[in-house]
Amino acid sequence: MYQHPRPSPRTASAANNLQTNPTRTNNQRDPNSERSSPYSDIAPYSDQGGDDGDGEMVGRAEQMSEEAQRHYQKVNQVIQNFFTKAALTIISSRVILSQSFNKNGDLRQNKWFNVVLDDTDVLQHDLMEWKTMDAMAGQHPSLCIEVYLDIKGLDHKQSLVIHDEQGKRWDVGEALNVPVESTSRPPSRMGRSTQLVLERWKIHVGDKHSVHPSELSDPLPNVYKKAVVLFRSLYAYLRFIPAYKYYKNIAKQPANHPSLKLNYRISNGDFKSPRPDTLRIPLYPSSESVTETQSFTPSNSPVGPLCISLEYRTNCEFSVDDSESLLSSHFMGLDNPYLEQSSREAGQVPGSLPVNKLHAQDTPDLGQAYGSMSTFHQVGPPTGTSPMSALRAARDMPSSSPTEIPPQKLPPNHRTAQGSKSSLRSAEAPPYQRRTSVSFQPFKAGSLSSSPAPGPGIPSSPGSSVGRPGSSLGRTAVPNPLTQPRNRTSLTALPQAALRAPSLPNETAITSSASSSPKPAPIRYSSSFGHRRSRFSSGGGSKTEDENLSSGKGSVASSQQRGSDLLNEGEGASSGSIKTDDENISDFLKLLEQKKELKSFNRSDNASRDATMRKTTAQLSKYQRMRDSHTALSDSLSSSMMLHRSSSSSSRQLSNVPQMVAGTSISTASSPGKPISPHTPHTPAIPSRLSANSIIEYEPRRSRSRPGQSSRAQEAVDVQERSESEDQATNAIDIPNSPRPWNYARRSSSVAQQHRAMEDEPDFFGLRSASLPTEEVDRERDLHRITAPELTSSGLFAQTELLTSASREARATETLSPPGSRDEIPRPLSTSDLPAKRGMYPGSSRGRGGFSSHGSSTSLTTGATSSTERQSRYNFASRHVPADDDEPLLFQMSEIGAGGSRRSLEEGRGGSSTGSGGRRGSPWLR
Amino acid sequence: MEQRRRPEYHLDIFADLACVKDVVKAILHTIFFHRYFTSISPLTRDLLDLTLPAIDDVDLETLIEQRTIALVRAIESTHQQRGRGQLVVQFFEKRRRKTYFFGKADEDVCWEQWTLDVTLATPRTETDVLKVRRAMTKSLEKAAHKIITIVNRDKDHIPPITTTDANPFPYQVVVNPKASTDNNTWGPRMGIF
Repeated sequence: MYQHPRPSPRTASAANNLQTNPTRTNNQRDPNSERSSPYSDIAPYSDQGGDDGDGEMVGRAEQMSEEAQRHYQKVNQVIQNFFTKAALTIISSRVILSQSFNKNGDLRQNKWFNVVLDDTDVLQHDLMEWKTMDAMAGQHPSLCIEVYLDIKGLDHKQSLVIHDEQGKRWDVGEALNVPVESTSRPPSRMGRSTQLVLERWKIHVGDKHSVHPSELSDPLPNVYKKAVVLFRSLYAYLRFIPAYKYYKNIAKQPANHPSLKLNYRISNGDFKSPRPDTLRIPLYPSSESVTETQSFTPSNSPVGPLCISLEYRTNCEFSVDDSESLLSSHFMGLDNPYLEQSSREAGQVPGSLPVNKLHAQDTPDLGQAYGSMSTFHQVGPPTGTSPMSALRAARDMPSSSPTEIPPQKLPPNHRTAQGSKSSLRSAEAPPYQRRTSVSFQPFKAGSLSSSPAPGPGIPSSPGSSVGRPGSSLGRTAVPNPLTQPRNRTSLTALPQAALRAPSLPNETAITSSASSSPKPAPIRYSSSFGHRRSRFSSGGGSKTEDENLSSGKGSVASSQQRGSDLLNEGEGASSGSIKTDDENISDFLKLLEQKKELKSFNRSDNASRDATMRKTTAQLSKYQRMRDSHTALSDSLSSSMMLHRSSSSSSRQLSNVPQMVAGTSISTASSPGKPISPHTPHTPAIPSRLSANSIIEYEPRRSRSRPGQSSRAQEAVDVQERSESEDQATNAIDIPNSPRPWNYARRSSSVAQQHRAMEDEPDFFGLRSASLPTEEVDRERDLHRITAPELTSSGLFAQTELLTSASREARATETLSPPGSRDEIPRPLSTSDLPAKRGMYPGSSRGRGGFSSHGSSTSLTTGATSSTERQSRYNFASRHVPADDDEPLLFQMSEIGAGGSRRSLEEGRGGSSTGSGGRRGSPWLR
Repeated sequence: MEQRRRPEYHLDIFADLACVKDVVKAILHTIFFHRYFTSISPLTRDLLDLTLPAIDDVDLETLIEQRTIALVRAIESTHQQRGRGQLVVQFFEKRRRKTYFFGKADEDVCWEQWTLDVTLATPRTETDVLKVRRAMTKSLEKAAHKIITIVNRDKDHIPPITTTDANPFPYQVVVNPKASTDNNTWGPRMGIF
């Protein structure tokens, strides 16, 4: 430290100093003195300054010439040592540094600033720049010290976990976007950061002009004296903050206890580190800030204020756990959703079936298991959307499920699903059509409300991809419009839902129902739609039906859909059951639901009729719809609540399960829940109204519009969409409540979407076929874009619905947009997932999220509004920073590679994961 | 010169009987850690899940120990449920010039004072014990942070260090002082400086 500095300073000093530089001898002297005893050297200064206060320099007239020289050197010396001592002080409190010895074999100590610390040679090299800098000449680069944990230091069976406020463990590796597996195999993720920064210290010389001139003229002894205080407090403060507690804890542990030692990194703070900044990455959902900052009051110096500041993680409760135990714990806790999903799968929750299947598919992959959480969640979303996917899956499962479902395909499916989802809404209808998508699409359309559509779309897309082209175009076109409308409506619905949720007592019920319903609803919808769609499609669009394995179902569904949202809901519920159980069951459920729906329809009809009237007019302007929907929503909400309740009986059960899963998510979902409930109510209401008022019309419309727009398969989708659209149109007002959001969004967007989808579809197909990931990315981007704008415009709505609608719109506007629409869909899901996650945090919402995907969609919608506020971080990221978040996610996805694809799929599916994201989601998931 | 006023800082400390001694000592050490300008090899001591700095100085250690014991006794003697006590830490500057006028007393001028208001908690139930412990930990942590904030914020009043030997600033720890007299005594001197 001391050794290095002199040379340059002196030379420079001579030139710089006002006084002539006497000689270089001084230089030598300084080094010596410094080395021998920095303190002693300084002490004189202090002494001098002592009496006069500040005149020490002047005091020594005798040494004027030399003094100037010495002063220059001393200032440099003090500043150099300020940096190096700070580094030593900081690092020695975090890492055990090897001691160094002088010639006599004595321990070498650094006594600068009157804090005696064992010196080390380890830092010599890293600190060379600061040891030799000429601070007086303005050369004083800032010194950045990062204290971090590197999970590469763990063996394969270990995971670094952090304990949150509730003692829950979260895998850090996942938070770092390293696949769970990767934690055990760091090498495989070389590109990924394995370093988690806990603290970042910055030592620098502040702006000379920012302080009072008198501070610059502070005599050196005073400078030193004040620096002593600063270093004392630095020493003390270093031991107050969390990282020291971690350091202390691992020091206490027996040698054989697995632990991860802290590392440090010294860098020039003036340059940006190429490494990803992991300091602020949240490791788990929390309302508390990830980091805090501390700035020590700058200490004066002739060259400017000497500043030490840091940013540190507020929670450093890290420990190294066995990966398996962590997993198990996840399953127990966070993974609950997962469990629930599994349970659902086992139980074959009506709506969940598709999801379950999807999950099951996903689950098969071990890696996915973890990731599967995310994937599951994602899957969930897919399921949510998955209803469709589920349907698809179910279809695939039963008939050709292997093709679509195959694990390998799963990722693709997810992607496709995502894409399909979006596509369903936007352009992917074709894919759906191709696969069984047609039926799915309808369902999706109906279910599209949130995520279901995407999900179905995805599944269908694979299957339909083959057949899609022909029909897909038509379908896509139709679906897209539907989807777009849906999106829009959904957006509207969302806002409305949000609005409703807050005000309505129903909300509580809704929330619960919604939360539950969202999942169920989505499931129902999706599944129902799928079935229904297929049925409908059979009825409405024969092709689509055909495509849909459950064409019969689809037809039925179509009829049901036609009947009304209520029907849809009922169907959805039934469908869910069907999916899980069998068509028979679904049929029964449908019957039951239909009855229920009828009631609900009746109820909603009044409002829905008005709403529909309004909507029809309003369809032109989605926003208007939104308004109407809002108003209608309020009305419909109450009615919908009733409807939900009535219709939801089955759905509720499902919802209950989802809620269970979502538990927390639901909580967040409160808003989501509302939306959900609205949806369910809406669907019933809408259907009823539609059925009552314009069911026939709707059917015709559907058939008409669909045929025209989309191919048969698409028609099936269209049917669903139609139903939705019809619902939207007819129910326009009602839709807002809950169903409408979905339906409306779909419808509103559906029209545009369809067109868009039409346009998009081609691209989508290509894109989809080419690469889901890209599409997803695009989608995400689009979504973000769309969402962003929409968000601005509509705010909350924009979040979920806007995303979808926006995406759809964007798609419509842009050829790329179609893919984007898919993306959007996924995102909405993701957003929904996010909300779900938010709500779900505690519970491991992901699994739920996945389930919730449907729910999430609803939840998202509702949650989106609320969620944004609540999950400011996550939401913000996902919502506001969609592009950024998405991209990162995408990157992550891509980066992950296979895992990435999964993730992407997951993201797409879950949307949840994608939202704030993939990153966040993943960590959370874990 | 710079010390026109003598800063007085107050710290509120809350502790139960079992820990009051350690807590007070820890606070005193933390204060001295920032005011003991002699080169030191810092020590650390753990208390209540906190790690606090300490100075390896026998004289100072003894003084802190004695004063702390005196304080605790004084508090206990109040035989009240929630005993209170006050500890005052003063730092002085040796004034060479003034030495002649006022003699020894005049030589030391207080330039900083820390007042510790110690509240003794006597929890009776298990839950109270836990609550007190939490409160105690919090108060200790808060006091420690406050000390660090203060010493970094206010540095200009620290007198110049005129000697390299031993501790440049005499100090004094007073238990339950008569505030009025002390203030009167030092006030004028401060003005001089």
